[in-house]
Amino acid sequence: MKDIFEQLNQLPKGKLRLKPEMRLRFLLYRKMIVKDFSKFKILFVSHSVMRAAIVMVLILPIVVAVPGYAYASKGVVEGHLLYPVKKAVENIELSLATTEEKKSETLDKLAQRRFAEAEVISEDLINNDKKEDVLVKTIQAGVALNIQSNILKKVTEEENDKKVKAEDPKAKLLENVALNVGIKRQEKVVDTVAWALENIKNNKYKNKIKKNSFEDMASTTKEEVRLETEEMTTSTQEVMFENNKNTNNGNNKVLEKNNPSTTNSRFEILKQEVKDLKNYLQSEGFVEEEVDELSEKLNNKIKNSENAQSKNNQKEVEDILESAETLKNNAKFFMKKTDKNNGQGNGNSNNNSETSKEKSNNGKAKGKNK
Amino acid sequence: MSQNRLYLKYYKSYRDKIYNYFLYRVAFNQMIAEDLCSEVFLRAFDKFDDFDKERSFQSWIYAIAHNSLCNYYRGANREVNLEEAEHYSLENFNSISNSIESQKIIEKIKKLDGYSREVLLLRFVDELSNSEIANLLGKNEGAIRTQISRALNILKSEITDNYNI
Repeated sequence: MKDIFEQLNQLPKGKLRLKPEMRLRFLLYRKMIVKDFSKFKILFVSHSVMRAAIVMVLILPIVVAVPGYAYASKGVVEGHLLYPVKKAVENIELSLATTEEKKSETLDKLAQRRFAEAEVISEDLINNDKKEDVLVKTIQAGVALNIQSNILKKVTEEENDKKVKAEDPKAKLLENVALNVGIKRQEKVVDTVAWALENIKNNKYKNKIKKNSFEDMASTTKEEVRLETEEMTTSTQEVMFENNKNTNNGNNKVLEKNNPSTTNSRFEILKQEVKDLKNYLQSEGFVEEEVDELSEKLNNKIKNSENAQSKNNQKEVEDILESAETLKNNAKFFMKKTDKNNGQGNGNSNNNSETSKEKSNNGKAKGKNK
Repeated sequence: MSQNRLYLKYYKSYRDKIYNYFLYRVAFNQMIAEDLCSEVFLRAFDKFDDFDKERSFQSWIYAIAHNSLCNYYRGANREVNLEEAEHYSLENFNSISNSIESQKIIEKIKKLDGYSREVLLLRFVDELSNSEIANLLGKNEGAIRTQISRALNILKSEITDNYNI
């Protein structure tokens, strides 16, 4: 008999068969892979909130950057791909303004933005004449917003005057637009810029507008305000002229205008004023060619209004005379000075705008006295 | 060496030992032994990060195997029918071993009390040291040594009796 120890040590030993061994090995490898990837499990989380958070983090830069760029960039003007985004952001901004004062501030800011866009468009105008319509539309929208802002603010005459004296940045932008546009541009464009300048710089029409017409508009939804602001731009001018005619606020000039019997004398006064302006601009050293162009444009307007007068179309006469006077008052902003008179060359007429304006006003006063 | 590679190394060394451990304790039913063996290595992998590398892997893996076996028998309807166990053992034993002497000695071991049988299997089939057996069974080493000696004496006398008959 073998030794008991030997017998026990020789007891048979089982061995794991190949198939279960492979299965176990596979399960182990799978566990190992899962374990290694669990270090990056934040990327494979099934929790919906976490997944949403990750997606948000990835999308956020796009969501913020695109509207941010659209809103902040002056270069995003009408016709640009991102312009609707810019408008949407502006609408949100407007809707966030709860009080009338805030709303007025926002509208003022938006008006300024429109004029800044107009400045960008006007710089491009030399290369692309097709942008003239866009420029007109943008300026009109800016003026409409400015009017709404003033109505909500309930500005008084005194405040208006103060504001004008304090150099409204919007006026500065429009002066640049006028200089970029130049006097030789299409009549429609020149007239619109002159009208906007008159509106912003002199606040000529602001307090003469029937308040309700714009208050109603301001109380509608932002989208409608925006649409109306743009649509009404053409009618704004009419509304304003209409109100000019109808307002009985003691302004002798308006009364004078409304009286058909005095229209002929208005033609004469205007003609004289155009002559005075031409002389003044020439003496100030503005480019001769441009002064002639201005003079021709103004004389054409007077001629057209005389024709309308002969047809007894009083409304047209008034419109043309208004636009002529507006252009006359703001003519200097469209013109460039010659180099010999101004060493710094083009675009510096604004430096002398205050003094030239005063002189221009003196010229006008003289004309009226005559 | 990475944790995974270290574990695979241990796995290669111990897979057959653990399988054998179960084989002797589930009446040589290979299927059950394979399942239990898989379960042990998968569970051990999950806990491997907590395993103290200063300790013996052998003691650790046998402890897990011991727990798995306890759980297996604790489960419902896992009471081993003695006749069935006998049947399994004989049937499977024939396929494993062709040694008549080994067959006889297994028969004798089966007849020992549970504690003696477990100690002998751990010592001679699983080839654990006395201290490892003591650790696994929660006894002291001296008691294990005594128990082995006592079990061997019983086994010896059984075999001698058989020869005498």
